Amino acid sequence: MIRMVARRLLALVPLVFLVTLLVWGLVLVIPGDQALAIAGDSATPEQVEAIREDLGLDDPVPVRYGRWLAAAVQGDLGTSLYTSYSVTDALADRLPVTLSLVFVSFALAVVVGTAIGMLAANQKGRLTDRLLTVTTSVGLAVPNFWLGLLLVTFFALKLEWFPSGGYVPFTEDPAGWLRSITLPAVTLATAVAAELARQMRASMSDVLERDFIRTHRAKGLRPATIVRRYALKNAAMPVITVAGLQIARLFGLATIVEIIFNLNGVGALAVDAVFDRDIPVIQGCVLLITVIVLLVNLVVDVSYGLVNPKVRAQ
Amino acid sequence: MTGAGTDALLEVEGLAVEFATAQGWARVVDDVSFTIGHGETLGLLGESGCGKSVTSLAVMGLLPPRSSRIAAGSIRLAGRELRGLSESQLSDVRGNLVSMIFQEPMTSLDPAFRVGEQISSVLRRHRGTSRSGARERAVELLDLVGIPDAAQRVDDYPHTFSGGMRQRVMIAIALACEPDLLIADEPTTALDVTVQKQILELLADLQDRLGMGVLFVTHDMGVISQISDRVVVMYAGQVVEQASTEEVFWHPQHPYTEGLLACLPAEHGRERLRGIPGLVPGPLDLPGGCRFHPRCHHARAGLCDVTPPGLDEVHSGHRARCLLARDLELRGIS
Ligand SMILES: Nc1ncnc2c1ncn2[C@@H]1O[C@H](COP(=O)(O)OP(=O)(O)O)[C@@H](O)[C@H]1O
Ligand code: SF4
Ligand SMILES: [Mg+2]
Repeated sequence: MIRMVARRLLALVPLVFLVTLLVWGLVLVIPGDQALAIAGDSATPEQVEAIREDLGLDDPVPVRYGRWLAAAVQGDLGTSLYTSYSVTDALADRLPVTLSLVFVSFALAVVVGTAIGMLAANQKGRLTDRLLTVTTSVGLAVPNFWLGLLLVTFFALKLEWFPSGGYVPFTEDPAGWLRSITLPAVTLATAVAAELARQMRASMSDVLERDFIRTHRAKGLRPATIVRRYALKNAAMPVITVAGLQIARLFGLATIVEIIFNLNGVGALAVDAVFDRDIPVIQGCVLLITVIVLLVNLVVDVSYGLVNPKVRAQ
Repeated sequence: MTGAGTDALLEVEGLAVEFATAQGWARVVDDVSFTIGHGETLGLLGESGCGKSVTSLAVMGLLPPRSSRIAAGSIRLAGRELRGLSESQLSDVRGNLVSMIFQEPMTSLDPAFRVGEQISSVLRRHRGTSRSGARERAVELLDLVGIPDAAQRVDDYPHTFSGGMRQRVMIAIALACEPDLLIADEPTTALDVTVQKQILELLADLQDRLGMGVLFVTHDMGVISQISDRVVVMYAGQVVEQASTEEVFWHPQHPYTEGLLACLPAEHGRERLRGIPGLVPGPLDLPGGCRFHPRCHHARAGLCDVTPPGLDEVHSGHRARCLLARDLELRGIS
C-alpha cells in the first residue's frame, strides 16, 4: 500500500513537469507584448525596451523557461503585471476560498448523491425511485448560474437566511464561514450530487442482484446491514472513480460560482487575470489547480485500493 | 400431521410457488410435500428447471418478494410454521436454525470482505459473539471444513481461493451456528469431479459429527446414491416419486425415475444408456393429464393425457405419481 502511494507520487513528477511546460508555454501563445502591457499605453519605446531588458524577455526560450521553473520550484511564481503583488501570495490568499467551496460541495454531493442513489436502488421501479430519477435529471440539467441566482433571490434576499455573497474565513468566524459557503456549495454540488446519485443507483442495483447478497440474506443478516455495510462497499468501487473525476469538474465549475457569489477564490482571480492578460497570475492559477487535481486523483486511486482487495493485493 | 407433537425436523406440505409473468402468475412448484427427520439426508432430485431451487428458497424464505409468492401450503420447522413470518422473524431463523449453500461457489462469497469476516458476521448476528471470539471461531470452522493454514487464510479475500475451497468456506459459513437443517442446492455441480467427491465426503463427515438434517438438491443420480437416506424425485414442479434411496434405485415406481436411472453409466458395461428424449415443459405450457406423458414410453392414450395422477402410495413408504404404477414392471439398476 505505502509502496503503491510512493510509486504513484513519483509518477506525478514527470506529469507536473509537463504541466509546467504547458503553463509556461502560455507566454508564447497568448498574443500581446508583456513589456508593453506593463509599461502601459503612454510609455515611450525606450521605457518598453528597458522593461523588456529587465524581465529578460529577449533571452532564448529555454533560458526563460529555466529561470521561471527554478523560481517556481522555490515557490516564487513571479509578480502580477498589474498589482505588482507576488503571485504566490495572491494564490495563498485565494486558495482557502476555493478549497472551502470545492470540498464542502464535494462532501455535500457525496453524502446526498450516495443517499439518493442507495434509496433509489433499494426502491427500484417503485414510485420513490421514479421521483428520485426525475429529481436527479433536473439536478443534472439545471444550469448552475441560474440555480445560484435562484437560491440567492430566495434564501438570501427574500428569507435573508444566508448572505448573498462574500466570504468569511473559517479562522475568523466558523459559523459565519458556514453561512457564507452554504449557498455557493449547494449551487456547485447539485449537478455533481445528481451525477453521483445516478452512478450509485446503477452500481447499487447491480450489486443487489449479485449472488453474494443472497448469501448474506441466507446468513440472516438484517436488510439494513446488508445494504449499508456489504452492498455499499461493493457498489462504491465504480462510484469512487467517477467521484474523483467530479472533483476536477468542481474546480472548473467553481469559477462561475465564485463570480456569482462574489467569492474571491482562485477561479475569480484567474478570470480577472485573463481579462487583464496578467500572464504570471494565469500561470499560477492554472498550475495550482492542475497540481491539486492531480493530487486529488491520487487520493481517489488510493481510496479505491482501500475498498478493492484485488488492487490492494498488488 | 399437526405441527406440534410430530418429531420431524422439516415438514413441507402442499407447497405451491408462483412467479409473476406477462401472462399472470405461473405455478412453478405445485403441491410439493416431504419431511426430513433430525439427522436425516433427503435427496431432492430432478432435471434442471423442475423447481428444486425454488422449493429450497421457499423453505429459506428467500424467494424474490415481489415477483413470486407462496400460493399454498405450509413449511414447518420443528413444528413451527415459517410461511407468513415477517422478514425480520425469518432472518432470525436463517443462518441460525436453517442454512443454505449454493451452486455457484465462485460468486456466492462477497468479494470485498475477508472470508473470516464473512464467517464471523453470522456468529455476531445470531450468537452475539464478540469480535475476537467470532474470529477465533472462524479459524476453527475453516479448519473444520478442511482449509489448510486456517489461521492465515482467515484474513484472505475470496478471490485467493479456488472453487472447491470457496465452497468449503460457504460450508463453514452455513455451519457456523450449528443449524438443525442444512439445505445444499447442487453444491458440487460447478466443481470438477475430484473436488466434487471431496466436498461430498466433507458434507457426509460433518453431518455425522454435527447431526443436522440435510436437504440435498441435485440433478445427479450418482451423487444422490452416495449421500441420501431418502429421495424425492421432482418433475415439472411436482413430486413424482418418493421413497428410500434403495427403493428408488432398485424398484422405481415412476417411468421418469426409470428414465433417469437408465442415464446412469452402466455398472460394469462400457455403454452409457440413452437419456430421456424430449424436453421438460415450462410452467406455462404444461401438458394436460400426466405432466410426463409426452415423454413417457408407457403412456396410454386416452388415459395418461386426460387424467392427472395423484401422488399415491404404491406400497408402504413408497409413493409415485403414475396412473399405471401398480401395473408397470419398471427397471431399476441391476
Ligand atoms: N426468479 C424467477 N423468475 C421467474 N421464474 C423463475 C425464477 N426462478 C425460477 N423460475 C422458474 O421456476 C422454474 C423452476 O426453477 P428452479 O427451481 O430454479 O429449477 P431447478 O430445479 O433447476 O433448480 C423454472 O421454470 C424457472 O424458469
Ligand atoms: S401416468 Fe402415464 S404418462 Fe404418466 S408416468 Fe405414468 S404411465 Fe407415464
Ligand atoms: Mg437449481
